[in-house]
This record gives sequence, structure tokens and C-alpha cells, in this order.
Amino acid sequence: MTALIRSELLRLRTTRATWGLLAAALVLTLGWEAVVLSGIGGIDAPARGSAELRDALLGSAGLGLFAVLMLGVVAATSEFHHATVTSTFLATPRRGRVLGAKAAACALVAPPVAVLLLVVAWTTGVLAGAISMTVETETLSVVARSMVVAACWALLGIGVGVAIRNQTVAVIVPLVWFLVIETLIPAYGLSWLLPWLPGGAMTALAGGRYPGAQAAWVAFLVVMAYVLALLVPGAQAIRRRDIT
Amino acid sequence: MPALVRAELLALRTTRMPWALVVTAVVLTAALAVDPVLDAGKAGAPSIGTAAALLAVLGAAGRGGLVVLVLGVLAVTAEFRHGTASATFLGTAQRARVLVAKGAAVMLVGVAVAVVDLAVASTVGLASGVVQPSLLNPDIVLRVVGLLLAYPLYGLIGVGIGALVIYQPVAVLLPLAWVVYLEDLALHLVPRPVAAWSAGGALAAFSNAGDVTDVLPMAVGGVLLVGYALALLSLGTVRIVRRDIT
Repeated sequence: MTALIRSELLRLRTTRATWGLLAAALVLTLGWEAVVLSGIGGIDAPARGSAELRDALLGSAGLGLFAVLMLGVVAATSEFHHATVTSTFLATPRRGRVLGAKAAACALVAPPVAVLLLVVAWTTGVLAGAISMTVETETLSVVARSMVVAACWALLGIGVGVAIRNQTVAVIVPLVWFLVIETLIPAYGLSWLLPWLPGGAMTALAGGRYPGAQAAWVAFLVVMAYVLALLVPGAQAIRRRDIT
Repeated sequence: MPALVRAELLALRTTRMPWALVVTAVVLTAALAVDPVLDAGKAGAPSIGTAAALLAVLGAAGRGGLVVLVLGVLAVTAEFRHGTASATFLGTAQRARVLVAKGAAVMLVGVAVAVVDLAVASTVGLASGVVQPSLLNPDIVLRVVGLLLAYPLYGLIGVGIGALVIYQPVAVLLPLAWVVYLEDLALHLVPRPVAAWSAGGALAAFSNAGDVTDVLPMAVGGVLLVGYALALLSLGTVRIVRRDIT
């Protein structure tokens, strides 16, 4: 199993999509950070040097983590897209283990990415003179939390990819789900449902506050339940499927 | 109608994905149209019987253009994904003509989807009493016409992007992410007047949006959208014409 995970890590390291997604994560993080920084001094914007501003700047890394979700989707689907899955499954006939290795590799890669994004966000904030250079305990707890959040995004991505398989569809579905469907939920009077949906649970896990938000550990369990609900039937289908 | 366009329409009609996209467009429009009806009467939301609520319900037909954009992307990229591009370009060696035919076919489908989406939004509006003939005025009619004419243009933009990027997941994800999210992010970082010339700004102008600041005249918005579409299509055509096809 370790050899499988190592080969998945090698795959991640040596394909372009991984680095492209990392670049996208950096662009998203820095872009959102620039928006926050340009808002300083405006109405309702957090003041220079305040804890709110620090949270807002570090929160920009959370946007970059959307790329980690995509990394999970791509890792799960690209072998089907490029039809390399045939040789992979010939080399390792126990397909479930291959999928497990993919999930493990992505979950391993995600936390360092989160740390990198946070360091970039924090450094930029310090260089812009918006936050002080002292590292407070809150900052460290944000780092710890973000590492878990990143791993969860990666696993959700793997789950979506394994369940859908068609890469194009698997890439669009999370985008539509998180940016359209879950934002429409409150209008339909279904706000009570939000803490139990993947996006709402991820927000709670990342420390976001909204009415009805779960405690972090409950939110984590909710997310894991979604991951399993996607991954197990998806893996089952892949195990029984004809691979050409 | 030229044979090439008819062939593309046949391809669109007889594959699963376009139909799935049309269903998506209808569901999306219905969900967005019902949204302001349910919100009406709550704080900050326009009440039923006002022009604002009418605009919100009819404006729900404005998002379906994105679905047509995806259809345009798929019309080109599916040929590469499934390896049918070789056969297509062997059948019609002038690749530019194939792309133009795809553009024309997707635009025709775009018009059809626009009509369906307007029907869906109108049905929701009429059934809920939000759409009342007495509320209609030339500005509202112009807004609806602009939103619907944007559908085929979005389709053409999609064909251009598909020809330019080819790798299907990226070609689908990039424009969607741009329209839904990234453009807003990018426009925060440039001077205000530039925003009017963005893709979203052009659509706002072309669809006679009243709730956007610094909006261009409607005709300029239309010309701008057509310009973006043609520019992307030309770039995509240049790329496809010179590409190795395996």
C-alpha cells in the first residue's frame, strides 16, 4: 500500500495539472487578499492591525483551497480521461486499493498546500503593513484548522471524481453545487438544512459562523459522511466495471 | 442550410450531453425565477406587483446563457476528447469551415434554449402574479430581448474557447469560473471604468441592466460581446488550423 501511495505521489509531482492547480490556488489567494487589502479604510472594512483584518487576510487562503478540491477531482478522474487506468489496474488488480492510495496521496498533499497558502497570505499581509509580524496562538490554530480543511476538500474531490468519473462533469458539479445551489438554499426557506450540506459543513469546519453552524468536530463528521457516501458506491461501481 | 451546419445540428441532436445541458438550463432558470417569488415580501426584497420583482423573475432567464456557453465548448472539445476530430477534418479539410459551422449550429440552439428559458421564467411569473402586462415598459422589454440575444453570443464565445483550449475539463471550467466568480475578483483590482468593458460589463450593457454603475450604451455592449466572440473564435480557428490532429 505504501508503494501505491508513493506512486500516486510521484504521479501528482510529475504531471502538469497539479502545478497548474497550485498556481491557481496562489492566484486565488493573492487575488482575494488584494481585494481585502484594497478595502482597508472603507466602510465596514476591518481596521489596519486588527484581529478581524488578520482573519480576513488568512481567510483568503480558504478561497485558494478550492483548487485542492479540484486536485482531488482531477486525481480521481484523469486516469479515466486519459485511459491510463487500464495499465494501472493491470499492475494493481485490486482496484479499491488504487483508489484508496489516490485518496491518501491527495490527503497527504493537501495540508502542506494549506500551510503554503497561509504563509503566502500572512507574509503578504505583513509586507503590506496591514498586520503585525507577531504570530499569535489564534494564527496557529487557523493553520491547524486549515490543514484539516484542506485534507477534507481533497477527499471530497476524490469522492466526487470517483462517483462521477467523467472528468468534465466532475469538475463542473462542485462549482455549481457550492457557488449556485448552496447559495440558493436560504431563499427556499431551507436554511436549517445548510449545516448538514457539504458546503455548510466545510464552512463550519473552517471556522465560519452562521446561524445553526455545527461545532467543528460535528462538521468534520458530516463531511466525512459525505466523502464515504460518494467514495464507497463509486469505488464499488469502478470495481465491477469493464475497463477498456 | 449548408450541409456542415446541418451535420453539426445532427451531432448536437443525437448526443446525450446537449439534452442534459438543456434540462440544466431549464431547471436553473426555474430555480432562479422562483427565488424572488419566495423572497417577495421579506426585508430587502421587492414585493409582488413591482417592476423590480418582475425584472428579477424575467432576469432569471439571463443565467441560462452560461449553459449555452458550455454547449459551445463541448461542441468543439468533444471531437478531440473522443478522437472524432480526425474523421471530421478528413471529411472537411478546411477546418475553419467546420468551426464556423459549429458556431452557427450552437447559435441556433442558443436561440432555441433562450426561447425555452423565457417561457419557463414567464410561466413562473404569470403563475405567481409577478408578471403583469401593465408593468411592462420598453426598458423591461429591451432587458429581456438583450438577455435572450446574449444566449447565441455566449454559445459563439464557447466555441471560440473550446477551439482555443481543447482540453475539455479546463475549457469548461475556466469560462464558468470566470463569469461566476473570477471576473468580480479581477475587477476589484482595476480602475472602475475598465469594468464596463469586461465580459460581464458588456452583458450588463447589452441587456439594458439598470442596477449596474458605469454601464455602456446598449449598442456598444452588443458590439463588444460580438467582438469578444469573434476575437475568441478567430484565435481558436488559428490554433485549430495549425494543430496536429492524431
